[in-house]
Amino acid sequence: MSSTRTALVTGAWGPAQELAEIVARHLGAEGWHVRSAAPHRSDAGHWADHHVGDLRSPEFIEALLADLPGGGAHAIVIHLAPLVAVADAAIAHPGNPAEALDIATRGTYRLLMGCLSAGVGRVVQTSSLSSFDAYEDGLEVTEQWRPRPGPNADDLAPYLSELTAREFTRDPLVNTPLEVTCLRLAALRGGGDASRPPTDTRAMWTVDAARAIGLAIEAQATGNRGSDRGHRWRILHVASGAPEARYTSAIAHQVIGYSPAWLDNASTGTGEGAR
Amino acid sequence: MKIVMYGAGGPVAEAAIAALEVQHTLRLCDIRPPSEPHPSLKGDATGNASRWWPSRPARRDHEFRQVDVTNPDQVRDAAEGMDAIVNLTVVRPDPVMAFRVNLVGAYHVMNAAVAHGIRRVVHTGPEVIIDHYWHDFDITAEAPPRPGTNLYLITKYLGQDVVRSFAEVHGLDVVALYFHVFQPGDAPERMKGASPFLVSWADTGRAFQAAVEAPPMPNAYEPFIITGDLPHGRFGSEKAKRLLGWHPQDRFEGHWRRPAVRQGI
Repeated sequence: MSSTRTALVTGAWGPAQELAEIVARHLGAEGWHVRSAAPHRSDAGHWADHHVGDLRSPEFIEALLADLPGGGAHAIVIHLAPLVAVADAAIAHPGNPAEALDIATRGTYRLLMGCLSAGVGRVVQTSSLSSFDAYEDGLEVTEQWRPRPGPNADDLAPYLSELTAREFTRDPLVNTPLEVTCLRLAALRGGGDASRPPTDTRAMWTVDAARAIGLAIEAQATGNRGSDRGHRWRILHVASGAPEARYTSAIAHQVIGYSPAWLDNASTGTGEGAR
Repeated sequence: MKIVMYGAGGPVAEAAIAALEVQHTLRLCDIRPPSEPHPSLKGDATGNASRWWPSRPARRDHEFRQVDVTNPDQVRDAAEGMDAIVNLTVVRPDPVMAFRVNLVGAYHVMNAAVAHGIRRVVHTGPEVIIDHYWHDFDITAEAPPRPGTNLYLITKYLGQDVVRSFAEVHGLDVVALYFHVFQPGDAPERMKGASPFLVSWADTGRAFQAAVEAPPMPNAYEPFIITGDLPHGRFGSEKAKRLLGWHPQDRFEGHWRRPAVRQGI
């Protein structure tokens, strides 16, 4: 039986490979048809409907968004590609990390233009909390703080992708603007002992990032944009949820119910939500 | 002062060179050699475009280097030994080069500034505060940019954020000049596309001179609206007057009068 809902997962490769796999597995179990995209071939992962190519290519975008089961109206994009732009550039343009900016922004621009054409209205985009590392450690930085990305590709690639996507939610010249939830993630850590938070206070478990993506999709489906004052752009910080974590996930907890798996599994019995 | 100018082959550069070449030493860089005219100089079928170009009354020769702003080595080498940078590179309609020049190119220029310890950078860009503020007035350069999805505007906007990041982290002194429409100060009537965000070529040149010579700015990235003193009350140049000491001289007064008044009826 074919699914009528399609989740298109970009950046299913390299640094986001594990995250993409967990997200895909979760969505597949819920009946979504998962289509994935990666900038380079890899032996890792088992993908049913996998496309390898460059999001900056109009031809690749057209193929990626063609023949979506259920049509564009029943599709969602899980945009992980901004997380892999630097690794992509290291292969495609060795020694020139600035190329990651082109990969991340032009790829996002092309992808979202394609979404408008294909009638895909919903996007969950990933970005990085590293844009806030310039703030003093003791400050309680939230979504209300201005990002301060360093002048390097690691910070700028995901941050500029955010800025690109945000315009697609509010351009008055776009007939039906996109609805985008942007999750700024802490540094991803795979494996490890997921019964407790990672020791690095700027890191989070990959399984928890996948969990946040699933919750963001569910929350988008409700169409309730009250917490965003009616805007089609939603931005949430998602970190480990540990009390000592550098970045709080409190708003993500309030808005989409984000809570890390390690907290649910913990035997403390405190019932505390993610901070 | 020794100034390197990237994107020196276009009309805005011509206006800037006209003002800067009187007192400064210029190193002009462009992807096209001087022998290859800028596309807008080719004009339409009647060759009309070139007559709207700015003039250079004190024209003199300058060092020229052929530089592709997407090439980090060429950009860095061209900045060696300079005191200030003026970045006028831009690509508008090309879906690939708009990102590569307006965004990645800006990154390379700022990297060059850091590599050579050049603090004063004059960055340039289009207004990104028009469409979304279509019904607003008293709009300042501090209004949050709203480029929308327009290719030219969004790529220049992203480039601005790259420049700002470099400026803030490395303590540079960036003057960002935002323009919209240019025309000769003595144009007898409003040209097609003229808007309440309009400046003459001569005032444009003077803005570059002021931007290069001005004392340190209050903020590492300081944006300015560069428009003539127009009567509409939409965009103002008060900040440029205050911080750069730039005072536009061409007001285009006759352009905004009712046709009957202009014709003396």
